[in-house]
Amino acid sequence: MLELKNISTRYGNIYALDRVNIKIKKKEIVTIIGANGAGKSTILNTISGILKPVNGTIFFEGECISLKETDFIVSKGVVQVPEGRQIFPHLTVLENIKLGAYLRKDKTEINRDFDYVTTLFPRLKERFKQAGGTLSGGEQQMLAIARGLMSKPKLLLLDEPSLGLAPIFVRSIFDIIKEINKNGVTILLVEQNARMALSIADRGYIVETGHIKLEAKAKDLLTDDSVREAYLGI
Amino acid sequence: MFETIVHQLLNGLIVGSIYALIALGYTMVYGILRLINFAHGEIFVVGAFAGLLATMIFGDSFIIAIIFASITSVLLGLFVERVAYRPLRDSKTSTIVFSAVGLFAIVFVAFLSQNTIFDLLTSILFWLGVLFLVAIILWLVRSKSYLKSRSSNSRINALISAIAMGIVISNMIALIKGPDREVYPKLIPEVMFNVFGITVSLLQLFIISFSFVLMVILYIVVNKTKVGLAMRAVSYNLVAAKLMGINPDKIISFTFAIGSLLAAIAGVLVGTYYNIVDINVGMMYGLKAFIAAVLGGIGSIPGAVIGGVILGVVEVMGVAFISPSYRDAIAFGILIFILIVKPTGLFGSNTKEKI
Repeated sequence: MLELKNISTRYGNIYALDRVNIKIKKKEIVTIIGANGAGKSTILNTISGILKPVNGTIFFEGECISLKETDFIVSKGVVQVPEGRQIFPHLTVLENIKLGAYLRKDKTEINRDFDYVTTLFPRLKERFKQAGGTLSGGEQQMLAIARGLMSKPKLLLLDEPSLGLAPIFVRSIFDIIKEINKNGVTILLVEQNARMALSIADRGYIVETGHIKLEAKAKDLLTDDSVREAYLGI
Repeated sequence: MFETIVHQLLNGLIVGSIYALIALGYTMVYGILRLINFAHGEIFVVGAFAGLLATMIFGDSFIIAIIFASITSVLLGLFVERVAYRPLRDSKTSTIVFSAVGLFAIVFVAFLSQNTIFDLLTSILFWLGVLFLVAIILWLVRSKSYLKSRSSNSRINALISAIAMGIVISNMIALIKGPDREVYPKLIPEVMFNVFGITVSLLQLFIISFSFVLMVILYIVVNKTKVGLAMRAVSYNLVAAKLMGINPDKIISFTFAIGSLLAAIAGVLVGTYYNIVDINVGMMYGLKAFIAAVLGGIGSIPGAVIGGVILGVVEVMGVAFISPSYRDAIAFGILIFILIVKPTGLFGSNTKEKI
């Protein structure tokens, strides 16, 4: 479904990604784990077209999207829920959700997705008129995911959804990610919480200083000694 | 005495409405790009002249003048955005090369618009001075660039570009139509009303109410429509807005178009109110509207309206009760005062710059 071939991205003269290859099949949950600054978010931002790769190509459903603008990529169904939520704090919860459907014109389907999102996150419904910035961290993460789902994603890119959340929220966010995946959305999940991410993922990539160091089934990564030592703290 | 005060209040309200219409353009562009569009005052003047041209061709019709002025100014506003600002947002264009081209354009236009050899020489000297100054600023900016983030660096470039664009446009007007003032026709019938002993003209009422209606429409567009929602999203967080599938370039163009439209209408209103239009008013009205926007809190739409009205009323009161020669001093005094006491303005939010 999505394929990154030899992708290199740089900030100024510094390479953040060096010949990265990633492949994601339909309906999969794939996770990218790695330390701070390894290049996880850079991978997602390169896929989304926020950053332009200096080398390599990205194919989504057979179409080359590597030098396209973000709005085009979103319209194809590649939707990112960015790190730190990045909801619009001054806009109301409802306006934030509406913005997710910015590119869509199919009114009836938008309404259906809206109902789906509000049943997935009933807490948000109580807070429609509130400014997004007044929500708690966990609620903001829900809002960010809800907003992403309103863009009708085929592939949902999630950047650190558990960042800064209370453990109880972490569990429910991961449950929701699984549920979204069951409803047919392919998921690329970037996480520092490697154990949680690997427990719900089919496959995992380990990133280190801009390289893919290892790629394997999530089960195998959970039992791999070097991975356990470096990322699972055992 | 009471009658004079009410009369001056009315005058102030009219001047203030004009300032507010122009200030809205500044504040909306600033809200989205964090850029003071210093060419905005010239877009206002071009609107006034385009309206005048329309009345010469099609006769004295207010509606035709407004439509013609709006189209011209909107096209010019979009052109300025496309030529002077967008290339600076793309990292691909070298900003230094770009600035050099801009400066060359200024010098070229300045040469063309001079009449005598003496004018030409002084103008060369003047522009060499400007060139030197800008070169120094650029050099300072560059040599300190390792201290600053890339965005603040390109913001200074955009500011220089904006000032250059303003100079180019004002010289282009002088070049195309000559530097003389022109008489503006009365586009609204002269009817006087007597309200509680105070004479009010139809034109005065019209300017105030028309501006008010425009502001209400703008409020609805920004707060109740999809494109308005996108505008607000882009102004809060550009990257997040992109991830929603919003094309920021389109929204920025739209913002410039609205600002230019309001400026064009203000231009026609000023022309028909004072019956005269001068190519040099652009800078002064532009600066006053900028002060109004800062006073209200730059980036805030209600702030621009309130700031415009306050500035207009204070200025007119100052003219009436202190001295007409203090008119500009009062306005700039307000600017200095607000920058010292409350730099965020009346309605501005205190957003801390991220480093």
